[in-house]
Amino acid sequence: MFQSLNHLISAWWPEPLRLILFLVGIMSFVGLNAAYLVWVERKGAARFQRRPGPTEVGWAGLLQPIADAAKLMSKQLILPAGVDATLFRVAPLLMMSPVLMSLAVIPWGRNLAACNLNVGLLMIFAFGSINVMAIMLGGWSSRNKYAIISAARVVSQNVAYEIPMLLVVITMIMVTGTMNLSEIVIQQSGAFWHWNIFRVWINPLMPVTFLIFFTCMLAETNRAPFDMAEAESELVAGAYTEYSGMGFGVFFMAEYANILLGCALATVLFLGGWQSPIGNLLGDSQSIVGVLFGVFWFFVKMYFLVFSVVWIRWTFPRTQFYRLLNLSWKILIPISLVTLILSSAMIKLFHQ
Amino acid sequence: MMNPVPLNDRPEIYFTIAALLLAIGIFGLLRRRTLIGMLISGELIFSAASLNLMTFNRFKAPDPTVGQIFVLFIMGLAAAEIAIALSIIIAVYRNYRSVKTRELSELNG
Amino acid sequence: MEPFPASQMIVGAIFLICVGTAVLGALIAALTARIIRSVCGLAICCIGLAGLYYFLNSPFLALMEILIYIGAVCVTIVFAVMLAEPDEPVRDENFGSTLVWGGLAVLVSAAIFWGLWRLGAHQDWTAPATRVTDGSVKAIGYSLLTTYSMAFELISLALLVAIVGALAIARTGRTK
Repeated sequence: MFQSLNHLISAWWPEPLRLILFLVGIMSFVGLNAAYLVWVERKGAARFQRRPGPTEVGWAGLLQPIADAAKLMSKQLILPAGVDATLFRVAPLLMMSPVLMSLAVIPWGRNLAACNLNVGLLMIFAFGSINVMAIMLGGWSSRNKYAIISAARVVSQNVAYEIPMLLVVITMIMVTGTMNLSEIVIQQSGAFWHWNIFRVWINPLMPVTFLIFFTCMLAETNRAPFDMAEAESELVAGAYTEYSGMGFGVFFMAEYANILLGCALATVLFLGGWQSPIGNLLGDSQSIVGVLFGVFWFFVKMYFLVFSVVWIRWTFPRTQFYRLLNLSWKILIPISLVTLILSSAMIKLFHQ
Repeated sequence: MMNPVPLNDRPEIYFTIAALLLAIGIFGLLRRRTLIGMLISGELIFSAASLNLMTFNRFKAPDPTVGQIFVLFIMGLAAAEIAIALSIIIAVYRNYRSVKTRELSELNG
Repeated sequence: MEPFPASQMIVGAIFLICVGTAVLGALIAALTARIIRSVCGLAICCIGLAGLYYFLNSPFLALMEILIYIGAVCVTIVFAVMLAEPDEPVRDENFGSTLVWGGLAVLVSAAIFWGLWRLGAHQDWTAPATRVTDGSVKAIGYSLLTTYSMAFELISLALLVAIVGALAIARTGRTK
């Protein structure tokens, strides 16, 4: 009687309408999350520092994001003298749009991806690499010394951390044998010891792999302790210094959208995506209730990771730049190479 | 649509685009006065070649992996070429304080 | 299931957008005076090309195009631009020679385009009768590690040499 949600949608509406529905859904999801993650971050920071945080607008400051958004939107986007106006305006959009495209391949539940690509994993990394370009263009076109320093830092940081991240992802592709994110999740069905992070019989270093992925994700999204791009105590606001109004707002939203994407990807790759940690209680995971439970578990895992990102930001101080690069080139890359070789050897020897 | 074959299934369109890219690349290579500008035009020429190969791969080749692998190798070589060329450009800039082709004429006796 | 109305038209429109993006990007890359816009033109052209690769049955290469060209090549070029800042110099020689040489360049490239276009458009391109493989990522992987493993190793060697060479070249003269 119950069909999968995807089936239902495509039975009611044809494919292009379904895609539009998904894209509108993703956009509103990202917008809402960007707004309320800021609230979560401010409240969380306040808790970590033993103060109340935003309280004035709405109950417990819950309307604060709306007030902030209204303020940002009503401000003028000031073009500083001598900037390249086109590039200056395009850079925030270039930062935002790849994230939205990448979120299209994330499977939120069983059969609940906007676009179930066979090369979905590759697509996320291909579009993720556009981010660097966006920050660089923003920093360069601002004609500001701080912004240019920040842009140069972003490039070296992102290039350095893309290598261990891709090595880890190659390991995961080797372990799962596919780049289709839905298939990766389906392979991890069952209780929590089937999740990729605990599959130590394929590679005893799997939890380490997850840690490397998470660290690289922090660095790629420019979050503390790796927020060299907008180190506010050294570089004002880094590449975003000259941006005002919604120009800054879009950059800010894109940062949170990137965090969401990174955490969703970590959930899919390592934490079993929509699979429940205690096995399939409802029996039929194809039914609507099953799919909704899957979405629930996905969000629980994803928001746990998002919370850890906030937690890490307010717990660790910012690293120095050379330490950041040393961490990548001297520690993360060798370890990820070791996991790559180890898991390929173990797959060849024991699991063929 | 008037033509029964859809636009994206007609090889001559891809060949035309590839030829256009090549022509634009050669024009840029002839007209640019800085090393980096010439490098970008060179990349356009690479892209034109890749597009041509991919078109043959789609419409002519019995084994459609061959063209893809070839284009993959072209991309790898383009990346290597860019790395070398840019490091040379930076070394040149350090020595001459310029990357304009007109001013790099020390060997011009 | 019935196809969506005018789906053929939508696909055609997307194809035309890809073609337009590729050509427009290439024109920006070759014609603008500011080198940073030229790099952006190259990036736009690569996005268009990625779309064309998708239409040529290779989503894998489309994504690799974005990953390598925009993520690596364009970013590296912008980085070099930040270090050297080489905007196109203002034309300093007299107007006549600019016109002559520019006209010559247009002529050369137009001749090349016309010749290639004649070659490409007036042939009979029929599809082959049989396909050996399906051209999927899996098939590419198998070919890379069997038939083309030698070329694959050579490419990786070339990349390694390029990295080391780039480091060596860029390091010399650093003390100046």
